[in-house]
Amino acid sequence: MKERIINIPNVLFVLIFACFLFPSRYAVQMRLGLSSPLVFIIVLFVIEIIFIVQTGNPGKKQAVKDIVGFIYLFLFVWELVVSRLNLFPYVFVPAPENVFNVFAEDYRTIILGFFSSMYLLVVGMTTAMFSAVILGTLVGWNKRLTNAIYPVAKAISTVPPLIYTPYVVLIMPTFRTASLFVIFLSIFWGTFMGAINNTAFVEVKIINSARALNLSTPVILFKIIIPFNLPRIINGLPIHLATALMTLTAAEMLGADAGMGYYVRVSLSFANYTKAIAGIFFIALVVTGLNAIVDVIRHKLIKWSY
Amino acid sequence: MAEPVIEIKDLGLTYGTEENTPYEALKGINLTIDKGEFICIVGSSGCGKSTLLSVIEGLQSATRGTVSINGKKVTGPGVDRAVVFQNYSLFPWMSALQNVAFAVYETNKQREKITKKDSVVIAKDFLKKVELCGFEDSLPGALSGGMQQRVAIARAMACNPEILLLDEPFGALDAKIRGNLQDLLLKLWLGDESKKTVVFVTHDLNEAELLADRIVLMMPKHIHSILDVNIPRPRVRDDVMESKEYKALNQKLKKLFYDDIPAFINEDEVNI
Repeated sequence: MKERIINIPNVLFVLIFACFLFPSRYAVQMRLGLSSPLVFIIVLFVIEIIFIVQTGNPGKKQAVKDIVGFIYLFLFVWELVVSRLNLFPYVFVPAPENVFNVFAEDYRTIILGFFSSMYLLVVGMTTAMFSAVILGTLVGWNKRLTNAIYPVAKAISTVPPLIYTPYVVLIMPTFRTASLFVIFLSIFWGTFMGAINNTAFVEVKIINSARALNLSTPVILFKIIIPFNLPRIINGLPIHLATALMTLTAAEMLGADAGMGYYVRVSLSFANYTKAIAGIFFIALVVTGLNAIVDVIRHKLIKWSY
Repeated sequence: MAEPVIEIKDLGLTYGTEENTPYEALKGINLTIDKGEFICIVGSSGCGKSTLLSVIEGLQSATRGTVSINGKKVTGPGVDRAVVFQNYSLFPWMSALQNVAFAVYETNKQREKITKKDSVVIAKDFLKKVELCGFEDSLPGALSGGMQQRVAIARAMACNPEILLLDEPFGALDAKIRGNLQDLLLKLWLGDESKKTVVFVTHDLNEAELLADRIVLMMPKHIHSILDVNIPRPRVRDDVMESKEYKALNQKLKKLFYDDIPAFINEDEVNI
């Protein structure tokens, strides 16, 4: 019981609150430029609740303690060094209160940006994954097509989409089509090649088993080969997600009028580093959330392994 | 009286194209199998027995000669044949029940109308017959090797083919489970009214003697001899092992099997 209340994360949690009791040099120097700590305090409590809930899980207990301890340590040092002691130039290193307060001030723009980015990400990723898997399976099934198309796909896929992103953004009629196109390409080629390989070298015993049932080609392709390859496809999702996000934010930094990457870019160009840092935090949060969703999908869909 | 179902005439199969040196796997195979017969093909590893079976399955095509089933030349797999492979070849993402029901639905669809519901009912019935009640929803990965082969047998039988082809189905199982499954297979085969023709490939002489009506002994590339097994059915394992016919057959088969091997090994050395 003692151990559950007195531990490093909780001590740090209290220390952060203790900081609020001391006068802020940041506020003095910026002539009361320190925002209300309300959002910061809410964030701290949310973390604490997650911490308490997660420590109930014996398998993860130590890891949760370490991670939360690290987050609290970071926030504590940030609060102490910036807000209380103001050791850095306040223009470049904003106080945690101010950064978290951006979420309260600017939530409209941030949420709109979130939906704009998610739309591009989800549409771009799903169309790329579906078309790549279906086309790749069809190509991989035919030896002649495989031999003709695979080397070409391999050559094209080596060009990183980030290189031609500026050009695509320039020539496409709207920013949306441009980013969809770039996200599509960033995922398509790798998945397409993977699907060709998986199909061309699918396990012989599975194919023989299917052929012995005298199945038609469409049934073999869509009811045997794709389900058999599904774990590999799903296991590639986190990497594809990371690639897509990188491409998306890069595209948004070039020519968007909304979105998470756009928000960071605009804040940076107006030298509003407080907002820029808040935007970066938000992206990190969204990525973590997306990865958690991918994990759930993976566990739901894949109940077997090779 | 006996009507031939499978007729193999002067069958030969050579692997390799112009680039590789051709390798002859089968040569001059002639064999006629009657309806309702249980044939075991025995031979040492690499003698071509599995290749012969895969030609009958239609998964490989012969380079010479023909295999006909009911007078029709085999050009590919068909719903008149069902196969049990040695390496557990169930679909790993489908449960035991789904594996059987999928096969029943897909193979019957090609012959007559069948609803998915009916195929599930048939599948459940056959899983019961192979004593797998309670494991319907288990994925193959969660089943033992012996249980997976039970599902594979249920899958093959449930499709109701005329011919059952088994390629060393119990090769990877331990002796006890192998015995259980041999008994189960015999029981299912004898209990079936449609009298399925069975071609069973094995390298285990005792297994062949227990199961077969006729034993086809293969030496590399060709059929060496065909032996009749005159042990009355139904066969009970312990009684069979004690019977005179069994002992005589066993000796004869062992002699054939082991005596000729050195000669063939020498012949093969020339090729290697």
